Parts: sequence; C-alpha cells; structure tokens
Amino acid sequence: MLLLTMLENEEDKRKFLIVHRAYENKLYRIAMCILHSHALAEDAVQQSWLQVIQHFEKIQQLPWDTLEGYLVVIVKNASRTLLKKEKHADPFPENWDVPAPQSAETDETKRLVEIIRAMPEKYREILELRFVLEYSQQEIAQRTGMNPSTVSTRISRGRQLLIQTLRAEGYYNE
Amino acid sequence: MNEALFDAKLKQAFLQAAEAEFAAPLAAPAAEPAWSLPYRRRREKMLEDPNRWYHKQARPVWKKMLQQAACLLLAASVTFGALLAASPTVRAAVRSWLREFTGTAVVYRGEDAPKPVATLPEEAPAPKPHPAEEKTETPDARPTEQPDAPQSSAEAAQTAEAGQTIAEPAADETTVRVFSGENDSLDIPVTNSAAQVAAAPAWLPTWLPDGWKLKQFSHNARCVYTDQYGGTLEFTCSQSAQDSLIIAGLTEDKLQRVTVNGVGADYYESDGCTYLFWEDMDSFFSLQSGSYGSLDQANLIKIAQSVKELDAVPAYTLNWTPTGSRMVNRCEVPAGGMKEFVDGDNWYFWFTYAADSAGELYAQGSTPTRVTVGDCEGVYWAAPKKRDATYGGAVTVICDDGSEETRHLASGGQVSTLIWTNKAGVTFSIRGAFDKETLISMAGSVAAAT
Repeated sequence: MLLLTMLENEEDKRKFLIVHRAYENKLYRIAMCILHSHALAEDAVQQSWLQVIQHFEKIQQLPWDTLEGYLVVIVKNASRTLLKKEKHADPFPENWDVPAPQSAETDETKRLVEIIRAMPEKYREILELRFVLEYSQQEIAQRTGMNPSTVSTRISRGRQLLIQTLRAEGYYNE
Repeated sequence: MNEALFDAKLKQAFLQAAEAEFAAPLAAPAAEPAWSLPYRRRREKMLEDPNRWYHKQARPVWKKMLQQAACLLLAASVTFGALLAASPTVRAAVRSWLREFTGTAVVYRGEDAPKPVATLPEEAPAPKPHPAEEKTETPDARPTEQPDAPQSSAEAAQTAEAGQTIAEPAADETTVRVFSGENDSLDIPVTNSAAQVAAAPAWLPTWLPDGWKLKQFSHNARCVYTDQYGGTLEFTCSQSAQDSLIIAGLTEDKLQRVTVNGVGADYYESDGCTYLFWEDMDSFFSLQSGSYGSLDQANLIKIAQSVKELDAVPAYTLNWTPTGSRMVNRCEVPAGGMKEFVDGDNWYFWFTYAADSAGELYAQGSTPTRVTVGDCEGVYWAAPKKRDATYGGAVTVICDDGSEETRHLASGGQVSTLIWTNKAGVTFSIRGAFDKETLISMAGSVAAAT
C-alpha cells in the first residue's frame, strides 16, 4: 500500500496547526458528552486527529463555517467506536417515528435537520459515514460490523425515508 | 431535484444537525482540559510532524509487532552475544532508551525518538552484593489482631469472637494479610485456584516494604502505591519505543549510576523525592517516590529487582451503583484495573481490582470486620465520620455540556472500604463515603466484563 503524504507541505502543516488549536478543546468536550470518561475522551480526540490528517486534502477545502460540523461528525464517530467496545450491541432500528415539523414555515434544509436529529443514532451513524465523511460501503461495513449489502440496503432505505417524508410534506420537488 | 443535489443538501443537513446537537459544548468557554501526560506527549509528537505521527499510528498492529520482533532478532544476533561474552555480569538491553538532560529536566525517550541523544552506558559499576536473603511476607510474619464484633448474624458465623475456629489454610491456599490505615490487620484465607488469565503480560513489583499498599492504576499503566503515612510510590512500565518520560528538576549532577539485576540504572534524589530508571530486554521501568517521605535507594532497588511479569486477570465491572452515580475515569491493565465514579451528590468513589500477587490493596477506615460478599469472605473498614463537604477536598471539572462541576473528595476519616478476594484469586476493593450495606450491594454486583 502506498502511504500518501497527508500534509504535503509547510502550508498544509500550518493550516493543520490552526485547525488543531481552534478545535482541540471543543472536540474533547463533545467526546466527554458521549463517553463521560476523560481517558476515553482523550483517545477519541486522538483518533479524530488521525482522521483529520488522513482526509486533510478534503478538509482544507471546506468553508470554515462548515468545518466545525465536519469535525463534530468525526469526533462523534470516533467516540461511538470507543463506546461500542464498552456496550453490548443493540438491535438496529429498521424504522423510526418522524417528528412533526416545528414550524409551518421552515425550509427544506431546516426540516431535514429536524428529521435527522430525531433519527435513531445507529441509523444516523451510517448515513453520516456515507454522506458526510464519504466512506465507501466496504469501509462502513468494517466500522459497523455489518456486511456490505446490509449497509447498502440501510443507506438506501434511510435516504428514501427522508425523501418520502420531504415529498409528503411538500418540500421535495422532482 | 436530482440525486446529486439532494445528497449535497443531505450532507449540509447532517453537518448542521451535528452542530446543533452539540451547540452547548461548542459554545462553552475554551477552558483547557487537564490533559494527561501521555496525551500531551502524543500531541507533541503529532504537532511536530503530523505525517510521521499518522504513519506510525496507522500501521496495522501485526506490522508493528513484526517490526519489533525483527529488531530484536537482528540486534540480538549482532550485539547481544558479543556483549555477554565480553561482560557476563552486564545484560545489554536490546532496545535502549535514550537519556537527555535539558538543563532543568531529564528526558528518557524510546528508540523511535527523532532527536539523537546520548545512550545509557552499557558499562555498569561493579554490582553490589545482594542481601543474603529476600525478605518474604508469610502469614506468620506479623501478629494477627482479632476483629471487632460483627454487625449481623450472618457475619457472626465468620468471626473468631463468635467462638468458631477459623480454618487453617489448606496446602494449596494462601492467606491474604490486609491492613487498614490505622494498622489494624486481619488474615483471611484465599483459595489460590488456577485463574483464567489472559495472554497479555503484566509487569509489576512483587515486593514492597512493610506498610505499602497498591492504591490505584492510572491510565498510562502507572501503578500508585501508598503507605500508612501518606507516602507515595509510582511505578511505570513502557514497552513502546514511541514513549518518553520527562521529569522536571532532575539534572545531570544529581544522577547516580546503580545496578538493577546486573544492568546499569539511573538513580536520583531531588527535593525530598527519589527516582529510579532502568530497562531490560523488553521494557523501560521507573519508580518515583515522594510526598511525606520517600523510599531510599536501597528500597527502590529492591522493589525494582522484584518486578516480574504477572498473569493477567479479566476485566471486571461494577453493575450496580447508588442512584445517580456515573463512571468518570477508568484504567485497565493486564494485572488489574480501577474505575472512578461520582455518586448522585458528586462524591468520588473507587472500584479497584488486582491479581493477588500484585500486592495488598489500600484501605481506608478503622477497625476491620469480617463480612460476606456472595460466597467469598471480605473485610470491611467503617469510616469513623459521616461525610461532610466541610472537610476533605473538592475538584472542579468540565462536565458534559461544557459547564463546570464541583466534585467532592472525602477526607480519610469519611471513607469506608470493602475488600474481598474471589475464588479466581482476584482481590477487589470499593472505597467511598458509604455505609456498609451500600458497599456490600455494589460488591455483590461485580462481574467479569463480557
């Protein structure tokens, strides 16, 4: 396997240091929310920086106001991985109740945010891995312990459920 | 709307949802967490050269092990035999840790350290003759004190004062001597049956001076011991070539060369504390003694020479705790583990377990009494005082939502302890500002982690 240089030059390294300085403490606090353990939170933060370095070419192209959400998803993912080592596996929720809209005047993206926040965490996890971190189905299968065909089915179903909900509420136009 | 456009919106929605979910910790004041020393060392390496750090972290475990094994084989074939032939009393460490003085501190680094530094000298002063015999702890070494009257009829059956004879240990049993902070002691028999042990090795001292007990394990595989006067002793073992150890205040003029098991070692005395650093074929070790009286050189060397590889024990969990309790810290090493909790009122309590060969566990409280934990015998030390936030200490931590939280450390007089040993030869301890019933309830819920 060819190991690519993740940070190609001093400029990349300078940007990485800026990102690190801006977000290290925040990532720790988020990891603590999930893991409730200082030691595990440190591990989650370290794993997150591994991910950042690995995907730095993509990350440095993100607008600064989008970067925060991206890093939150990374540390969530790292924390969930550590949490799985502590807990028994719960059954995967095949369906969930979509909440009613908070307001009649919300836009499509805001409505999507509402639905996503009500989504069971296990469902949300694989969709985040696919649509935010852009992992392949094989990578998602390895992380979650599912087989790739199950991952594919659940991604497709989750996406369709979101589209159907938006369509029923008049948001999704063909 | 085409699929690509929807997927782009979906991505934006997931990002916004993630930010909304953690809005509070993201917006909280940027207070610096109390990073552990190992984390700070790793961070230093990462920021110095992120690519190099990434490549090392991302190597599969089997590759790391293969590389280490290859290094061992190569070094052994080239140097080890020659060194043994030239100086049979000196064992050359295959993986030498490097020592560097910065002027205000000493730095010990694994062989993967990027900066070239002076190596530990292979020659050692002529080894001092060992003491004629190792002092060994035997069940008869100290007098046994009778326990106080039991609290319940079930416990009455366990005590000598009830008129029953405590059975002599059988040939395959050993006796554990347990002490409280006030030097009360009690002997309880332990069935030393074959334990289900994991394959991972664990290096720990197997001898300690009288009165020293194992208090806790910490995250970087450090063991902390304490004595009845509040003295502390920290032991570390590192088998990673990427680790390093930095001790402020240790300068070159304070260095004394000694030997541990025929191998050159570094000893220091500084500001009332004593330090010993040494290595063998696989590991780098340290002992640091201080706080209200340190152990002298002879004792540190004796402890170092007793370090052995112990059998591992399974990880254990506490499945019942008082309402509102939560775990805030944990550390598991092959020979034991420790989990730190706070209860619903934010008082700390600790659950510790260790292989019985790892040493006696630290207890707080007064006047030990026999109790029953499941089908095991245990010892309970009651706290002389009820817990009171007026006494003891408090710490402030950043809690889940980014706000600050005050947690209470009970003073010694407010802490009770329950210690027992199961049939697999693992000793457990629960310490906290609780009554006996609460400790026994927690003890009854202990189980091996699945």
